[in-house]
Amino acid sequence: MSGGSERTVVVLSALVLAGLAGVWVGGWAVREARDVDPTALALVLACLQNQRGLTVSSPARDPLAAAAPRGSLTTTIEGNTVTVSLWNDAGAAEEAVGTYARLTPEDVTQRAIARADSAFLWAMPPTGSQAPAVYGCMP
Amino acid sequence: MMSTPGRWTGFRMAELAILTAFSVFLLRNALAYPFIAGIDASEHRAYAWDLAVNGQLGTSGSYYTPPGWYVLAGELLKLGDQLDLSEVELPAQLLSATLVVGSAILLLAATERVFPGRPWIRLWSLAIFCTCPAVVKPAAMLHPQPLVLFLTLLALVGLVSLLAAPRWTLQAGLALGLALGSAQLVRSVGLWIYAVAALAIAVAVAVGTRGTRRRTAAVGATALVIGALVPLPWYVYLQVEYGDPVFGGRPEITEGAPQLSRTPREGIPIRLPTATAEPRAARAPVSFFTATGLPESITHPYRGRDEEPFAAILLADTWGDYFGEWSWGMPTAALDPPDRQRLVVQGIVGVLLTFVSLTGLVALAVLVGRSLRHRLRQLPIVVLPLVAVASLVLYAWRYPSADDDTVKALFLLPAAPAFAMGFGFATDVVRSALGRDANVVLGSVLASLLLVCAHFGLA
Repeated sequence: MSGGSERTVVVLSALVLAGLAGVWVGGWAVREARDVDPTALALVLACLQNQRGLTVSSPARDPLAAAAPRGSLTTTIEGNTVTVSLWNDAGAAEEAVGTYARLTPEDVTQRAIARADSAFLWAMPPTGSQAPAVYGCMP
Repeated sequence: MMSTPGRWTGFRMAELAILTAFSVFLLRNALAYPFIAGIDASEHRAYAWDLAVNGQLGTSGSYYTPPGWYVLAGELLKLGDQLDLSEVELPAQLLSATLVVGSAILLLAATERVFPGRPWIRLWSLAIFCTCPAVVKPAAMLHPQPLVLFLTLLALVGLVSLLAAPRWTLQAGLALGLALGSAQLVRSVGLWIYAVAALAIAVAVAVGTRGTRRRTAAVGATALVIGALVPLPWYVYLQVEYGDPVFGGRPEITEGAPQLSRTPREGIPIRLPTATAEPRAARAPVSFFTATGLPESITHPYRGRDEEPFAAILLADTWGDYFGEWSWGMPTAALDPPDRQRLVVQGIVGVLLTFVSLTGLVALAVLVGRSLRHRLRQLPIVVLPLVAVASLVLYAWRYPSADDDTVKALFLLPAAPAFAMGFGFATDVVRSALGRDANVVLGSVLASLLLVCAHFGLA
């Protein structure tokens, strides 16, 4: 095959590769322009579902959690159900835990827990494997 | 363009100069580089030492790696111990440097056979091979990869010699088979060149003339059978011991795996119910392979950020120091490089050089596809990088790692010669189309980029 043919193929290959790279980077630029940062709830949801393999739903019978300004969810890990509510700050999360304690007849010291701006209500005190699995997903 | 004998001598002198500088460079690196900083250095040292001293096979986390290199390294560790060296690993590190220098020489031999009469391709291929950090870094380490690079190149030289020969001889087939088998006794990536050889031989039989086809098939089959028989005991051992002939039953990461909580009186473990019915093997998501990682892949080309994508890791590790085991710290502590700008420069230079290399390989693939019979000897150069990258993608997909540990440029080392030839081919074709002044500019720019890389490769 002649050198001229090789030149043509090399030039075309360079153009095709440059075009593909352009599409790749252009696609990134478009996504960046349209992208809205995911909410904290979406991040927690994605982590629990994708990294922990858990099934997540809305807390149907927890009006306090449902009122959390940044959202709430419930999931079950190793048979232990937990309701997670996301508040605006740590104080609000502590306040939610206090409300759980007031409204629940039994002692919830080991089950209602505030961590940073999140409140957790566990059906049973979480075990050493359950707690880090859920807390590790918090933003 | 045909070259005159005088120009040939000039090319030989230039190659010799590069090889000499490369040898001194790698020797100095092997002497200066602390063995413990190398990739999985402690694992490899333990395996080699236990094999040489205690005769125990696969005692470290690298148990699934064939013992070929460990036999040599273990004896060199013993030598270092007998010589009472302050670092007993030094002879084994020097072995790595020697093997990579040997590989550079084999690269010249392979390039001569793949592109006969085109000295510029040899020169540029050698230049990028000798300056690419992905080649230079393991040459200073206590690691089996330089040996598998050497044996892959040995097999590649044998393969392209066979493909270029008008009549295939049994001796050449036997030699190729031994090289193919030996490469597999060092690392599982030694399988790549075997797969390439199998495809190339099949194509050679298919496009061969009626008169040569039977002989080609017989010699090719001999090479492939020997290449399979040599490592067979190792594969049988892994299958019997670990239930997997290649990966040795390396455990996969699972999602939502039930936790063993307690053991009842009968001694049978109970699994508590979980939200998922069955644990499923974790796999890298598609976005890991399609994302650009921009702009951080350019501005922060090192480990320590979440969600760094495949291509960005590979480029950063090929041309720079993504894992921090080379120029700025230990792998596990590599979160804050002291000279980020230098890594950024490497990343940008690496993108440009990779583009030239890929252009050459894509063009070569088109040319080989259009004229398979006449360009048969170039087929392995096109297929080897494809097999290597596909294997790396498969590995990264099957074993996703939170610290990106399963995506390393080191894994691609046996395919580095093919990438180098792609670079040399593209550069030579462009050179032949340009005038003298433009050639001086092109050559100066490329040489400058390569020198930037060479400087980075100084341990």
